Amino acid sequence: MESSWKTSLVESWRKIASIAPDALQLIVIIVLGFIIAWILKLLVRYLLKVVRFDVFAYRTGLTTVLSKASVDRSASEVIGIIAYWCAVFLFFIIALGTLDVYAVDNLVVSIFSYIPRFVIAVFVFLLGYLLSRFLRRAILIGLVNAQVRSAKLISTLFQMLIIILFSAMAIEQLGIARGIVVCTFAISFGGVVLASALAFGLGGKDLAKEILERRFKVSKEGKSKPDEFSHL
Amino acid sequence: MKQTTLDDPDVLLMEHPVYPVHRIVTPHHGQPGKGNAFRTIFKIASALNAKACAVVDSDLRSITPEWIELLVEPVLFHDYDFVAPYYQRHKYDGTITNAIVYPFTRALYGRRIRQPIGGDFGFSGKLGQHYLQKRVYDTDVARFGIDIWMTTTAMADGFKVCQSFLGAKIHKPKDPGADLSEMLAQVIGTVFLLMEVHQPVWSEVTGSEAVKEFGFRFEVGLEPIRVNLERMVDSFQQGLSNLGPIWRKMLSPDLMAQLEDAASRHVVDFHLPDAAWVKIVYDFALAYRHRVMTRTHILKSLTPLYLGWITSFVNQTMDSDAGDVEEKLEALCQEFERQKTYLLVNWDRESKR
Repeated sequence: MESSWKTSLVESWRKIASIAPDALQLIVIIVLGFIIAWILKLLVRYLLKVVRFDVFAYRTGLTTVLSKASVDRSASEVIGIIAYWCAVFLFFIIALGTLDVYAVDNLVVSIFSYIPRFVIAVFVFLLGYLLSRFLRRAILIGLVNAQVRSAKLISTLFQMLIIILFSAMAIEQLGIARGIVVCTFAISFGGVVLASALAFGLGGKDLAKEILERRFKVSKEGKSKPDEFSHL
Repeated sequence: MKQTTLDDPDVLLMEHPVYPVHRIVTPHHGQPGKGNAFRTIFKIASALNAKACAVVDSDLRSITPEWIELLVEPVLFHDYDFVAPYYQRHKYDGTITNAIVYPFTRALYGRRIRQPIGGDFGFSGKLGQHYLQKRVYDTDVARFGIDIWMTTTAMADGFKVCQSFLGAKIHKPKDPGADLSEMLAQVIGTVFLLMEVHQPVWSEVTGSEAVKEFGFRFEVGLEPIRVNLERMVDSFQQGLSNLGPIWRKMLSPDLMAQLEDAASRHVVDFHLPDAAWVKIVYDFALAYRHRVMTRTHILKSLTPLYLGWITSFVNQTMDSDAGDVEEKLEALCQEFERQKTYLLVNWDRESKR
């Protein structure tokens, strides 16, 4: 009885001893990962400060987005935190790889092969967001100067359309329900365009007539008369 | 002729010979725009080693032969390098000039050139060559901005400037609202851009002084013009409603409150104080300087505010004669000069509103 108890204890100890170097390696890599991630965070924040990223974020509206999402940190701090957790995640994956377990190895390989696509998807989405903001403002100012009543509505719809387009591109890049995303986007986009054409053709024919007349015909008497002074 | 004592009328013709005028007629190749066409003229003047040169707008109806003399004479006989035009205009004509360009350039460079974007100028061969060396012909300056660029360059680079009274300025009618936003953006954009180039010059200037004036001032009859105030107030109100968030990035909360107060009034009571207008222009210049957003967006979002100023100005000068209007503009110019310190203090200070 005593002998079997002793044997199992020795066996357990041997097992622990056999995996101890790997476990120690894993712990060291993870700890090292945290330290490197912390240094990386400081470095990223310093570099972003040097290139005045916070001013860029303010101008592009990224700061507004963060404050709307109740994030009480500056854009450079947020990027620093993202870099920190990315590095920690990366080291964690590397650490798991040292265990030399088949399933874990497969997981590590698939995660590493997915990272470039994930980065491209994030980049596409960010690009789309910035482009949509720029175009929305350009359209809004142009329509207000042309005194179009629904300037805000039109420019917001346009922004949403751009965001949807780029989101679909990003999701497609991630490979999530690829067919459904493309199909849904094509149907929605086509539907919006068709609906807009019908709405403008049927509901807005008077407006269309007025716009064309204003463009090509001599203006009628009354309120629509242009001013006669020169601005220059 | 029958009642004269002249036997042979041909004698009279021999005594008054008419010399042919030498002309060089050349098409303008390359990019369209007044600025690029001017580059061709500068090149021709330089190739001919011209002592003086005059340029006039092509759509003028009130031009007389004396205009050329008035634009060229100060260069040829009085050693001036740049002659700006000075016209008799309707009190509501040339509103970009009156609202921004004249008071602003006067406050910046300290010279009272009344029509800095008049479009008709005289300049010396030396200044023409100076213009030719500048690399601005592929930018927005090459379109509506060329006039203010010529005037500012002459003032800031230390050339002798004066102005000549030319009489009335009447040009071919066209819808002035057709490309207002684009026109305003190009003119004001050039003013703002030149501020960055000539910052060492204007930051040293305080107050302003009159420039030598040639020609005799005389009163001319001006045709009445129609102004649609309702449409302008409408544009201002829509601007405040739709572009408010954009303006808030450039203007202070106090100023925004003043704009809201103005927008709430009826057309006939619409009023935008001079001090507020000057602050708006300076804040836009600072926003342009610090690139608060895309520069084109900054410039184009100014249009409704500018239309608001016109409405306020028309309301204040509805029953005023030309003299009263000039006094009103003089007060505006002084306000621009008074608030210049604000511009200087904030020029290198980036603010986040």
